[in-house]
Amino acid sequence: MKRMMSLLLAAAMCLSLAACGPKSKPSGSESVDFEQMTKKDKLTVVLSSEPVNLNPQTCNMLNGYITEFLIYDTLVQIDENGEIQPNLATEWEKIDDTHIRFKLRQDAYFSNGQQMTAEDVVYTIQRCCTMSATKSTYKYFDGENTKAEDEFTVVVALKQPFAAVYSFLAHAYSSVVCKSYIEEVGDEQAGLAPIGTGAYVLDNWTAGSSLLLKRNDKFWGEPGASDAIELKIIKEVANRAIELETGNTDIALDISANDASRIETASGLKMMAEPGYRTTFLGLNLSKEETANPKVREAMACALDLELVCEAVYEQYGKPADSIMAPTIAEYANVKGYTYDVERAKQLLAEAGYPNGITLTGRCQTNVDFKATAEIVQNMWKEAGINCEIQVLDKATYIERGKTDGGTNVTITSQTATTGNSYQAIGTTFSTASRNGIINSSDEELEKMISDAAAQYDDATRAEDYKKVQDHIVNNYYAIPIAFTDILTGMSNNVQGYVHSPANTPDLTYVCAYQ
Amino acid sequence: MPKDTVKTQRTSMWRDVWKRLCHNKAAMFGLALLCLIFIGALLAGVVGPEGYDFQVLRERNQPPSLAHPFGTDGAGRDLLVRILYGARISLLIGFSAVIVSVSVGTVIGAAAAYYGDKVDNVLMRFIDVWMAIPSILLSIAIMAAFGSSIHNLVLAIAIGSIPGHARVVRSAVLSVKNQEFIEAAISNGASDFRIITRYILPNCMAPIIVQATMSVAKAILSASSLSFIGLGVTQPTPEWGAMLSVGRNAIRDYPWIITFPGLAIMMTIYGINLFGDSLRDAMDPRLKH
Amino acid sequence: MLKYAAKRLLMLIPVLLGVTFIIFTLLHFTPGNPAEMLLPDDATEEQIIQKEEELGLHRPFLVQYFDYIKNIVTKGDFGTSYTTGRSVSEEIFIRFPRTIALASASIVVSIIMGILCGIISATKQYSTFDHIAVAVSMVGVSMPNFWQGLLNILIFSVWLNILPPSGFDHWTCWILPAITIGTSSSANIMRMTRSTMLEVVRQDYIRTARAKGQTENKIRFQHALKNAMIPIVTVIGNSFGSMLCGAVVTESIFSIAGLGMLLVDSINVRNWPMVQGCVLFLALIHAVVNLAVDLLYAFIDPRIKSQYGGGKKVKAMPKMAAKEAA
Repeated sequence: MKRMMSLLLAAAMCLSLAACGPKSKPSGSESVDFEQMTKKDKLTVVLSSEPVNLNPQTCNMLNGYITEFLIYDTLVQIDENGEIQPNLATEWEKIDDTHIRFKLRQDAYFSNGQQMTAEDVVYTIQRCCTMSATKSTYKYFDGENTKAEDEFTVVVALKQPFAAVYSFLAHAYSSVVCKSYIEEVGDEQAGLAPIGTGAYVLDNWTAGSSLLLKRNDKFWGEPGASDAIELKIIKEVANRAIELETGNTDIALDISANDASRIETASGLKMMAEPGYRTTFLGLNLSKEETANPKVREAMACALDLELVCEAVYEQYGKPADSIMAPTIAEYANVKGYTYDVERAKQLLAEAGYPNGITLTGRCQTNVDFKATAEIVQNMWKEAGINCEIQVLDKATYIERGKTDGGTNVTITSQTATTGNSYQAIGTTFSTASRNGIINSSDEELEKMISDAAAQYDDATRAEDYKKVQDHIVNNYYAIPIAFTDILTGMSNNVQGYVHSPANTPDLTYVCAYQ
Repeated sequence: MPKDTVKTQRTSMWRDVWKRLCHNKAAMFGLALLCLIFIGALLAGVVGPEGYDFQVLRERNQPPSLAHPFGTDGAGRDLLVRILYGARISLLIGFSAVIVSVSVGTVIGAAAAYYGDKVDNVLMRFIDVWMAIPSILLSIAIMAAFGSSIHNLVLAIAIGSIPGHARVVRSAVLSVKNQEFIEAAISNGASDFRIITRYILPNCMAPIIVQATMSVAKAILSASSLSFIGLGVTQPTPEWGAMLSVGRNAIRDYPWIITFPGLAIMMTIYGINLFGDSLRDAMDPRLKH
Repeated sequence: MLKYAAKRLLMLIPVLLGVTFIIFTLLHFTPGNPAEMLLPDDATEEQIIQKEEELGLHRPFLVQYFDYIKNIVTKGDFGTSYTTGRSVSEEIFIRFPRTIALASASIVVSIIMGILCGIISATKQYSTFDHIAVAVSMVGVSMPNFWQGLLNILIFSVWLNILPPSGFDHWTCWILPAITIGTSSSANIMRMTRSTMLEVVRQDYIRTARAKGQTENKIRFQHALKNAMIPIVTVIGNSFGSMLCGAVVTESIFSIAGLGMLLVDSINVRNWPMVQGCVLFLALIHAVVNLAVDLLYAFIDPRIKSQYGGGKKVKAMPKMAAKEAA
């Protein structure tokens, strides 16, 4: 038996040396006629991480949002075109710049049988404003003055005009929870056994392995497409692709670029590679001596061949970025005013007083594409005379160091607007209040531009405002945009109803799989 | 006079051991493998004068060829060059971790055994607690606390294996401690330090050396395991385990990226184990002639 | 014998106390704030302080430690996971069966492979099989677990598509990880079996048994193997102990949500109560397995059993005997 093993292994090694390429398979984009097929009882979806809990106001993980969208409902929804659609609220009106009145539907019941009322909505928004995890995100919401006018009417109050209010109300954080249930069992229990008004209810949760959701028969809207949905957790990115290819799952989220190109050509499978809300960029620290110099920052930007970086890190699934906001966001504008030019970079460095090169420090989190970007960027900079040592740190250490030592010259990071609005796309990194060691800006002008843009309700003016913000950040080299990345989802050809989500939080309610 | 007798006895013992090793094919094969890896580590700079992180982005994920005998990785770096530089790192980590842990372990073990009684009791209870934490867990905790770097990795691995060495040294010292020549030294008025370093330790070198040799293999293995789970050395340092960790996402399409670093680890450990095993046999008095 | 076991268990208490203190101190000085890990990136100072108070992190180090110990002793409460809100003991007992299952499957693989090959090698010393088995076992010991795991996935899941690469909900899922972990310890067991069998087979009583005309199989399994068992059991026990604790890497490769993975994940998010709970629990299990191995000697070797009754140096004996034989 032992010898057999060793022979097999030896054979495997030889094979791995000899047969060094993927086998080409016939194209897998045949159209499928779902009418003729029988529906599977259960839709299986592979996620990359496990939600820590399903309490909307304490869980801040993308995979938690996916699950919460199935179990809970929000007041409004944002559709594929960025339009606001009714959900638990049937209609709404803006009373003034800081008050919005929502009429609620009267046929929504929580899965414990209780009717959803205005009181639950008020409770939810007040939780968003007070819970430690969501407090800062909801800083423009006025929880105390958000009131129920009658059993099915709520007035949501804001502390100041805020254009992204509907996006925030559509966010998983704003999922309406059952007041009496949470008050009765407490936050922790409610996070493990969630009660919502959504199309599915949590049936079984095997810690570390999977969540099983059953269709909610008392759901107020159109019932979910599958009888049950199993969310399997597989952390290894390569294993997620293997699960899909071996037929163990119908959908696999967060596929790597390597695997994606193979799945595209595999028979029976298809890849959905669509642009997302994410932008990766290099933050240049304005509070550090070297990078406080705009010439040095410009040299750093000019020395990078983004085409090559993107191709090496993301293959065909990432495009060189020309702004700090992704093109999927309404107010995106192409603002990049410089091009790849090593000679110019060298000249700029000399002008800045570093004719013999400069030594910088850098930092990034342990994330596969950040690490790959770090290695490549370091090498490209070397050619222009910029020596940059980039440290890879785990998230906890990274956050702490950034705050305590003022950060490094360069930080490789990314920004994702989970609701797709510009306010989140810019994020808080560029704010003067932010001292996380990435930008450490003290630019009051930019601060004012950002807050003005956020308060602007008029679409055209807001777009103009945000264009200025993007232009200011990119062409003053506060950040070097690197890539707009695609969201890679693999699925079987027999999956029906899957709609791409640029936030990578697909709504699985109306998705099903056939035999 | 005891000094000379001890010395001649010692040198002849080493000569015997070496002679026996020379007759052992396995030992010689292991030694040859190790030499190969050492030479590789020395020649790394000659094979890859541009350094281990020299990349040609247009030549990413190239299969093995004449230009790149082991192929290239996802950033277009030559794998052979990286593996050779990696040999330096692995050998460095392996040997320094063992030197640290054997030295500290020897001090603790020898003190416990030589002074006995209370000292022994206190030190050994301390060692018990230490050993109760499985060494891999201790290393993980230490790496998390101190952050990833080569120094910390050496420290984390060394700390995890000190108690094992202390125990071996203690039992070896105990077996020598009551022999007559030690009593003779004591009656000559030699200091404790002199007795331990001059008379006791040289006479219990055999088990310490055998244990140390085997630990080098273990240390290299733990270092690459820790790097593999992201707690050891990180990229672009060409640690073999870290290379495997990065390469595993490409396991399907570019299998050479995980094949060669794995083979390198295996060869090194294999060489050390073969040699260590034979060394143990050669040093075992019961297996003489 | 019971008395001996009870004494050993009692001696564990100070050891485990020491373990908690070491781990507690180590974690206290680990960079990273658990409160920040639970909050979004844009969290303000005020939010962080609020969260720290919720978690009890604002208390001084020693107060935290004594509260922790007090809760364990008085209430059997090992704390609550920062992330999920489940109690630490509940979370550990959800994961532990998976780790045990993996270790058991692996030890079965390694015992079967190791002892069988060892016996054949020993009885046919210097045969081709012996040479190959010795060489291969050395390769088995030298092969890093994680590398073998990757190769196994590549061969059996990807190329042959006969075994699943990850998960633990079906028995087939256990085959690859069990082989991965089992190989290296089976090589150890094989080497130990071979060398002790070789020693035992040369002893007088075996010659006597042969002279009396016993069949070769009876000699091999009844007379020789039984006496060679002590060092083999030591190796098996040690392997089992390290499999329980050291499966961290294998668990992560095969996506098995066992204790090892829980521990590493908990370290990454600075979920301290969970880390402490895991280490404490694994240390306890490690000690219990060691004790079980020591007690097992007594069943195998009546000489040792008799020592448990009287003698003073009871504790050191079984190990010494094992080392002697090795």
